[in-house]
Amino acid sequence: MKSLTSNPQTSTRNPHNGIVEVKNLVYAYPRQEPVLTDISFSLNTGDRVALMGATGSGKSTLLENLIGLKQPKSGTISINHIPLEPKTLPQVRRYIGFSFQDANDQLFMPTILEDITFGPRNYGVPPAIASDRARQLLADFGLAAYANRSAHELSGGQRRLAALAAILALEPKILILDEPTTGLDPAWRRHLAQVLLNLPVQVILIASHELHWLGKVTQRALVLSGGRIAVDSDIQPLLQDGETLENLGLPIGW
Amino acid sequence: MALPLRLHLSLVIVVGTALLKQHAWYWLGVYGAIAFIWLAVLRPPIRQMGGLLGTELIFLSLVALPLGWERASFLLVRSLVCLIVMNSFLLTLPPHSFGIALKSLPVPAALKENLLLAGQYLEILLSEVKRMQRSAQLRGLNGASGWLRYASAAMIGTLYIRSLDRAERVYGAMVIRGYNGKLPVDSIFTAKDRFMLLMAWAIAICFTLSSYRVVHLEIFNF
Repeated sequence: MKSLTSNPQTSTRNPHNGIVEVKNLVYAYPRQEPVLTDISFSLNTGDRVALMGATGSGKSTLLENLIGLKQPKSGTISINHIPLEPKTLPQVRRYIGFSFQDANDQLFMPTILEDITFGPRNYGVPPAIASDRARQLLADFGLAAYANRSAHELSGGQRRLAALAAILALEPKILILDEPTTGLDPAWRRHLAQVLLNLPVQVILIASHELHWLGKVTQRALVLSGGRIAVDSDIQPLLQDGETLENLGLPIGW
Repeated sequence: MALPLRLHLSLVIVVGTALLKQHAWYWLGVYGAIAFIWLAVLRPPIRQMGGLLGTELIFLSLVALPLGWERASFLLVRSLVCLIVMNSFLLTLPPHSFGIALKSLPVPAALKENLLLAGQYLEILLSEVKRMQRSAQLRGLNGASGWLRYASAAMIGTLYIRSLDRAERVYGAMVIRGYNGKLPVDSIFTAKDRFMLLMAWAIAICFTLSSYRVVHLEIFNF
């Protein structure tokens, strides 16, 4: 693993006391070579982390391992100090908000409002409170007029925002976003960045190819390359190191 | 008028008509008049409506005519009334809103949940089909019939794989947000809607029961 800086943030990271703790994770699709090899990292309270990597580097696979949608071949994951195992999944998922790469995967209820209240109501939040929370989020994302409409009526960008609102309605401690800016115009990307910067969550992990946007939203970068974490550093120095990024398949400015 | 209320009122007319006593022509006429009023209220595209009714009645007549002209005529007219009502509802449904209408369907929760999810999922599949068709057409889908059959088969296969993949991800998204086998679906009728529905059901019950009474009296007098 390459460390670009010896900054204070890097040095104070406690590798054994993170809210999200991944140790020696290996993941392989059935009858295939591992796509993730010996992945270890730790995310602590207050971390806003970018997960970067070229297309097909395994970012989404890693994220899906973190929420238990995929089971690692070996290695351990713990969330909020609870080991991620089939029997602890419901407990662990209560802490995590996960947004898929494709917002269509996340919107399945007849109306947007019901989609956003889906999670809170499953976790026992009274319908009226869940509905108020959902309406507030819809207003924040400029989707108030669509509350009682079907997700199929929204544009790609609006669906992305609705999917994010559905996650935020759960008030998660850990927020994991897979390509959250897909389909968003610059104004909404800025708005989303402002929302993320002010969220009362403990950890944010964002996989994206939008390097500049990541630079505005996150402080730390994990870069996947060849199935391993090639870089774990502060994001700003990394974004200024064009050569390293080029070598990692992430040419800046493109 | 809200979609769930529209669906319910359509169902009231259809159920009332379907349960009419055989040969209660007078009451069938009453329901026919109601169906035409419903048609005028909803205003479906008449040309499309005509096409649908024609096709549906052809299929129905194939089933009904072997029963004999007397029975078939009542059955066909009764079906026509039901079809006018349901087609009026379906043809005036805004795009992508079938799920919203289904929410209030008076069926067991498990069935309703399955219908809702299937409805939502169908929308995604249809958009996937459209995208694939468009992509194929833009790349000049043309050629010998064997090639076209092969291309169509490949598309169907891809759709199947994509639908499995999509289903897995949708289920994953549900589970992550605490899905425990039950969809939180609300009843969305207002007090006014409930009153309208109650009235509609009361009127339909009166009409339908009257059909039995009148026929019964006619037989008795005879």
